[in-house]
Amino acid sequence: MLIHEYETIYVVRPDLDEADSERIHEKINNAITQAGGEILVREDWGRRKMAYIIRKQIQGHYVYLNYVGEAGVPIQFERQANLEDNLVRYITVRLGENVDAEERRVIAEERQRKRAEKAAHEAQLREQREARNAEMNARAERHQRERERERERERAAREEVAQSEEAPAPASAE
Amino acid sequence: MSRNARFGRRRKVCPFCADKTVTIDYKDPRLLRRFITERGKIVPRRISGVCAKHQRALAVAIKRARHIAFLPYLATE
Repeated sequence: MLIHEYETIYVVRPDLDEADSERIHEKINNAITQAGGEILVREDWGRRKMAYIIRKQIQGHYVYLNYVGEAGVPIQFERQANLEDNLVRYITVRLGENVDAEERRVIAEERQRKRAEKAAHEAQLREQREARNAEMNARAERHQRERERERERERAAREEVAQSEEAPAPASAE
Repeated sequence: MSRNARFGRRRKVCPFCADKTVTIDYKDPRLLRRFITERGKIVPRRISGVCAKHQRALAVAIKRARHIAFLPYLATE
């Protein structure tokens, strides 16, 4: 039998409690593995806003699966998906026909490693950006305080001048 | 030529042919949004300048994206 590569995205209701959604994920995974499929990548995309309302929900919990298996594997997935009331949408796409499972596994691992690296890199960049912002904010605040002190000093100086002008006037009149 | 001279319009180059690194993927709603109208309709080739080959791929991708609610079937104003 030919081995094909598939990817599936399914959406479950976002308002389920942890145990319920976990049970669904497990059932889905089992449906695939028991049909002889092998899951290469599983990504939990978490809650996302949906483009339109499905079953009175504006968000959906998205899960991405990438797996290899015979043509019967996605059929088993769909059977399980249709049984599950809280699984509102799914889409399965065949990525490759008659693939080498071993090779796809290596590629998937490579891709995941790269994605992790990229995420780490982005996190680092974000950290740097935040540090820079914090520094700039601190500097702006310091400037602000300095300006205030400056104004305070000027005001004090003006008052002093006013007082000295007031004071000598009566002295000269005498 | 005369058309160019008169209307100042140039022949648009298909953005997917121009940049081969971009792949049309139904999982990328940010990219696909550029090729639907505010109403959610697929933008015709004569407007977007996408070549026939990529327009076919784009149409499939948009329809898949709609199914899993990455894109709207119909957007209200």
